[in-house]
Amino acid sequence: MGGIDIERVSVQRPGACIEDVSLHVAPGERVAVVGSHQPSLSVLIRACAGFERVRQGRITVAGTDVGTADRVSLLRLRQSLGYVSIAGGLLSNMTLRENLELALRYHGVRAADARDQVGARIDAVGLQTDADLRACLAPAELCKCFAYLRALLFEPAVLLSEDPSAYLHPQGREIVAALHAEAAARGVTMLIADDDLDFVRPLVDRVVPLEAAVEVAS
Amino acid sequence: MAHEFLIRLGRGVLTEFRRVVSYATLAWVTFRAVFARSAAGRGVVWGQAARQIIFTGLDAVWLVGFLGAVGSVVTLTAAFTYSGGADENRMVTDLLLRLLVREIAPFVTAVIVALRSGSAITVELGYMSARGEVEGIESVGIDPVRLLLVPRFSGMVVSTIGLNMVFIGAVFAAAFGTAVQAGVVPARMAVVWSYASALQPFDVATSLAKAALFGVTTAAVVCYHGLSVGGDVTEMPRRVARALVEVVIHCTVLASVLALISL
Repeated sequence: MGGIDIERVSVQRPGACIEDVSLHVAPGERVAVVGSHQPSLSVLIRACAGFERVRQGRITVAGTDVGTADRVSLLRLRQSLGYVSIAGGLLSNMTLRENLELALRYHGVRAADARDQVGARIDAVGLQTDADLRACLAPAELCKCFAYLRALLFEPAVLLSEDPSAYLHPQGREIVAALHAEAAARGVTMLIADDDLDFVRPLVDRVVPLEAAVEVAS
Repeated sequence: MAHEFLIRLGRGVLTEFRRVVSYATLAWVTFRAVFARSAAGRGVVWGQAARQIIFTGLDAVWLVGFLGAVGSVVTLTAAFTYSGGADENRMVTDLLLRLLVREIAPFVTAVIVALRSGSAITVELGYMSARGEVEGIESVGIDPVRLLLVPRFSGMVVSTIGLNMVFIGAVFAAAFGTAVQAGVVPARMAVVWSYASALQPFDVATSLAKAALFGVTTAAVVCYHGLSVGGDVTEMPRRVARALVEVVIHCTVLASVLALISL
């Protein structure tokens, strides 16, 4: 199982930035970074997934330095980590089910097997009635739940999630919490960022305010 | 004043040069992905490419055929009006056929492909980029170059070549029909073959090669602008307009350069 090491990292993008942040997440540990400015929290998670350029410092996820890794290495790393963005990032011209099947089929799973595997996952969370909605027509809450299912399809060693509570109503929150609990039981390392402390506290072992991560560094 | 003008001109040239390098890089990265040994997503990618060929190529066959035929009829009718005598008419027909096949066919086909499918691709990739869908597929280890660019590039190139052949066929059939109607040639199969023989294989090969080049150019420009939308959806209309204008400009420049080379 891989851990996450964030060493004096600074990342900047329009409307959000983090400066000199350090954090260590041990293999199998579940950590939530919280704060009042969600865009800055999201930047940290995106940087860990290799979607933001690190201006300064170093981020190592499951043994890979994401700041210096090339495109192919990042793609390989992402196969072994689950990443959920705020809105989910599902392909809107496909159904929710097809989005999940696509990921499996691309990585060599036969169409029939992919259908069975995805069907079983969807049934397990009780979302089978909505699975054939096109992602562009599905409510944001459903998209988020299916994005979680997609992120956990390959049983990743590390789960990164930007604002897991976003868009979720009580039923969606229950589903996401159950998926987190299932991943935790498998010993998945988790780093999540959220501005809703009440939602994330039961999901993790440790809550770190973003400001504290900066203080640790200095 | 002159100094400022030169600085502005230099900047403009440099920006254009950088953009052309970006298009070439995108085309090269995609070309490498087409021939990569990796088996990842092969079935999915080529399934998407087939769908792209149907949308870009097959669905446009009638439009391209119609435009080729109309263009041919209008051009030849006008030419017959100004020329006199059977020999002169025959010479004009040969010349116009070669001109239509070698120069006009690939250009018109590329413009039709850009207008029909290029704009759709820029919008589609733009939305994907703005809604975080490109990152979404990357997050499960899917290579966006293979899943998004390879089908669109191969679909556009294959379709441009195929539609170019349809355009040539329509031009040729309409030219013969017009010549028969104008009383320039008798309606006999032997005459059809004599017209066909006036068209050298080199002319057809040049036309197809140009179509392939224009197809790659169109695909690179529309995909680049689609993926450049980033997180700002309001960029989309500007990107679509720019992509279409640039396709026309780049294909015109390429056609001119190739025509000068073949002099």
